[in-house]
Amino acid sequence: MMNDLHSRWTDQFSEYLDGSLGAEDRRAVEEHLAGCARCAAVLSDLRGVVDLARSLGDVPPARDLWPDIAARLWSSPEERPTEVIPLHTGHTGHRPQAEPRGVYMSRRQLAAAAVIVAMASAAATWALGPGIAVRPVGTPLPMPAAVSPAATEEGPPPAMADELAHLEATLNAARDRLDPTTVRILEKNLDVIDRAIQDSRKALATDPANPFLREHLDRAYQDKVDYLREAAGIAEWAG
Amino acid sequence: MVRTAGRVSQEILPTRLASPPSNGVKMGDGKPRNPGTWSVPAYAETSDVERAAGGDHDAFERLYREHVGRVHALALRMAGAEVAEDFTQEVFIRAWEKLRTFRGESRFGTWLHRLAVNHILSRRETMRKREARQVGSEGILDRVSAPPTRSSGLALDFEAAMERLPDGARQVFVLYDVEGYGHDDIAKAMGISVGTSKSQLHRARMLLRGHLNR
Repeated sequence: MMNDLHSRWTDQFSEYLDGSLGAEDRRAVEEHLAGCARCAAVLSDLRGVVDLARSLGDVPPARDLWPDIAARLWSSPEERPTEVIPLHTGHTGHRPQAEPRGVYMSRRQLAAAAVIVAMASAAATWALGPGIAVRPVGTPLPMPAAVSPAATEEGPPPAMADELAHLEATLNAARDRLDPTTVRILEKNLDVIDRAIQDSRKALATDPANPFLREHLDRAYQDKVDYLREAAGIAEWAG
Repeated sequence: MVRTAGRVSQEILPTRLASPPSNGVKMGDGKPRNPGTWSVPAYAETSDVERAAGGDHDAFERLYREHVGRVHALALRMAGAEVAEDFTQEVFIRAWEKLRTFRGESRFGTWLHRLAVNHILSRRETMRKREARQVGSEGILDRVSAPPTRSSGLALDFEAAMERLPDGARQVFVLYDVEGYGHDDIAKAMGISVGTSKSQLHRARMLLRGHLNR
């Protein structure tokens, strides 16, 4: 440890090295250095630290992180399409096919929307009860395993769930008019989004205080709402 | 074209290193510092950035491979080996999610670097808990000054010594001396005063000097 006599000077050495010391202080430091070998040695050491720091290069991770990143981004390596699947309304004769107003979604986005449809459908049915007439639709989408009473506790906030239920009612009313291909795509992607949800919640369960994971999950739910809005818009168009 | 729809970069990084790093800041040796820049040619980088912004996973993987060493080094030095890989993954996940807001006003590497710094700093709570498990500064000084192992090179040993610095001093040291940011940017990013940034830098240098004086 430097004693007080020397630390008075050494405390200024970083600013001296960085050129941010005032002219008067700089001159005083240089005068002291000329007669104090001990402080001159400290300054030399500090200069060596700075030089070494500036010479440091990249440090690649010991293992390839890409597979983990890809899995976290796109659920699984095989679920990594670069193309998008067009989601458009069915050809019911209401609109000519030559007027496509398709909304293009990736498979993941479609899967997310599909889960929301299923979740909202279940929630609305449960909330309204069997005595309430809900417009009958085609074969129900399979309920993903992640959508259980326990899982919904980690789901979107209540305000978002309300909006989902509202959008679902719109979609549910128009579902029998949607292109069967669209419905098949939604069903096919249920399993994908189910795994994604499970993975996200599992990660959060092991690290509940992790703000990044929480934010990531929140953003995912917000994405789902956004795409459900688009899907509801398509459903309205189909009507 | 790089997609420009959506929020601008200032909104992405509202409280931290939102402004361009202090390129051209003159250091004591008169050398201009250019933090967060990579040696990747701009023409080669732009194409993959455009493709990735359009959803091309393969292009994003190429960007990852080009930049992972720099991002991981930053995470390693600022946060420590035990979380460096996790933080590196998180940075690239966030980069993918934010890529469409990249406006091309700076190099992709510069944008990614700022994003990485901000993300790592946002995880300071985790790092503070980690520091709480460590000994006081006198113990840290002793350990920083511990003799290097025979098998380790000078740079590797220096990296190890950096990792043992107190978090605040280490982060300022890495951002200033390794990455080349100025005190103004560091103070803004870390939510501290310029004076604190300077004192933390000096503290880190003094703790590390014993490493070179053996």
